[in-house]
Amino acid sequence: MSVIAGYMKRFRNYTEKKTFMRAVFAAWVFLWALFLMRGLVKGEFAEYKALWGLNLKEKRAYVTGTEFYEFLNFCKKNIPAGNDFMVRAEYDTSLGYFWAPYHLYPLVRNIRNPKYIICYKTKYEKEGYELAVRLGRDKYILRLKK
Amino acid sequence: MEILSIILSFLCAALAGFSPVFWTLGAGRPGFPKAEKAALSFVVGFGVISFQMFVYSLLGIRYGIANIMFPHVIIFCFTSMRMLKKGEAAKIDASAAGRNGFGRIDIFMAAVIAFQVLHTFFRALIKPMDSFDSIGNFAFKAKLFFFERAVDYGMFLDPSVNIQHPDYPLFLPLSEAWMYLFAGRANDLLVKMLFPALLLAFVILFYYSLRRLLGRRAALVSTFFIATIPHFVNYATIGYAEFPLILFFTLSFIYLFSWISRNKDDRFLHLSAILAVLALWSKQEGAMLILINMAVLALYLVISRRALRRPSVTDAVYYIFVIALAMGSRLAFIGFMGFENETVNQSTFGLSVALRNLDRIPLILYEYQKHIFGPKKWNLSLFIFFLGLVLHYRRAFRGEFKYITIGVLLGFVGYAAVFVITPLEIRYHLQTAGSRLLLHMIGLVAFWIGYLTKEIYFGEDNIH
Repeated sequence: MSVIAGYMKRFRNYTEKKTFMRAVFAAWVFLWALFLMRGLVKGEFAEYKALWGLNLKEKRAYVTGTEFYEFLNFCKKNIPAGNDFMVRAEYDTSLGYFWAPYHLYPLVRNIRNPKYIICYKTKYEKEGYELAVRLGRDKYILRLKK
Repeated sequence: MEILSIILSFLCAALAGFSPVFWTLGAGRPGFPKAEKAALSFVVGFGVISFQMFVYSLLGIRYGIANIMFPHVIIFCFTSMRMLKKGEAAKIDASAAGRNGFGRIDIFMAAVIAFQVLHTFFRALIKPMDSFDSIGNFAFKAKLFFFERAVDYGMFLDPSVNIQHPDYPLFLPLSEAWMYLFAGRANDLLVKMLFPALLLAFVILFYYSLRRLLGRRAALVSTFFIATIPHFVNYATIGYAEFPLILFFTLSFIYLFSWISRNKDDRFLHLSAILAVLALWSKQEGAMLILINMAVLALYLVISRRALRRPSVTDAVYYIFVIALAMGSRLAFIGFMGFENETVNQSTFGLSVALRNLDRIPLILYEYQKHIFGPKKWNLSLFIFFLGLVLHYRRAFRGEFKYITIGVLLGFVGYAAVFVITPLEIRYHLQTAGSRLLLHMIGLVAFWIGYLTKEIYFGEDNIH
């Protein structure tokens, strides 16, 4: 134990020299620059390039996924204001669950008894609902039968 | 044009925060540089306005720019008259004097900090909100509050709408809604300007508050350290509530420490109390973090009870009372509304739960060590803290330094306790929230490193 304590004391004394502080500072700056460059090279720069010059809608489409974003705009046009909806979808990520209520608001999500069911990349049917409008084979909106 | 509207929303927020800051700092009393006051007005202003929007909603008043700003304009006029009468402007200028002697290394650090802030503005504004909580939790609520011109608790309580975390504090979504009111639409790109603006405010406040305690060089080193931690800066671009929480908590702790170490100047304690309440208002975890302030203050009162004068003790008791009142009000509101948190709720606060989950401790420690030795997110910050603590443990628990050390350690232990009692699957929780929760302590860690740097390398020469 005393050997370890001795080494620790020597190292502690060394850390109290300004040379050590300068070395830590240099290492810090090096790592900061390294990870900054790494981030840029590994994807950030490509993303900046892709997003540069786009308008807000195009940027939203980029982050949401163009296909899904177009489908959400289609839903926005085809679901009358004041109605509610539920989503049935095969999402790429769990974030998809939030995109629909976010983009479609002031249409409100209703996970129990919605008037409309948005079906995206899935084949879904439900008793009491009929096809309202279709964008593609697996992209359509169901409506509660009157 | 829309960007000007957003800037105007910032200016109005700063105007709303100006008077509380002015009166808190004592009309006409010098000692706070102009930049620090401006940054404080900005962050406190957003807190005041978001809370005002919340109160209006509870009273059934639909908010708009006019009815929010009206009382602030009146108060501002009164404050300005008082300020002119007292000649405050001249005193502020006088306090900013004496900033000569910047060396090459100081200029380098200042340049890197400026680069980091500008780069953060660019990163935030190149793409709209796209992260999990920024959309699902905050931006969605902000859009709702903007359209409804109120916090619609009817919708929050409706399980069929399935709103995420209805119990979360509303600082961030209401601040975003405030900016939408100016923009005239829910612009989820420009609203992200809030976060780098908060980073700029943080850098200013962190530097000036530390300059009083550590001297200029060590304050600059600390600010440089924190502004170059990738994980920290990243959170100033993605639209999460972590950033305001880190700002409010870190600054409230530093001002509390300033009160302890700087002649019990009551202004520091008042500022700390305001920022602590805002930490509580910005995120759930704020409740745990401001308990650290209370614990540190209580410890200080016990240790220094003989040396303390009666007015200082009274101030400290008021501080604890104000924070306890804010926490109690929040808990009462959550209980009254019937909200329940999925991570920490009444059922998790049992000794049996903690004892049953003790086998999680190795997993938590393993997660912690990943962060200590992982420079990708943290640069060397946690490693230096850990190494410094091991090598200089005597110094770290001596004098006033011990209060910072205890504050940081309480934060780590507090979050370890949260991981022990949470009903969520532990691996999932550590994976999704581990680094985010540790990030709340990064301001204190940078303060700790700065204090150690001052103690070892700079001594007392250049302080104050």
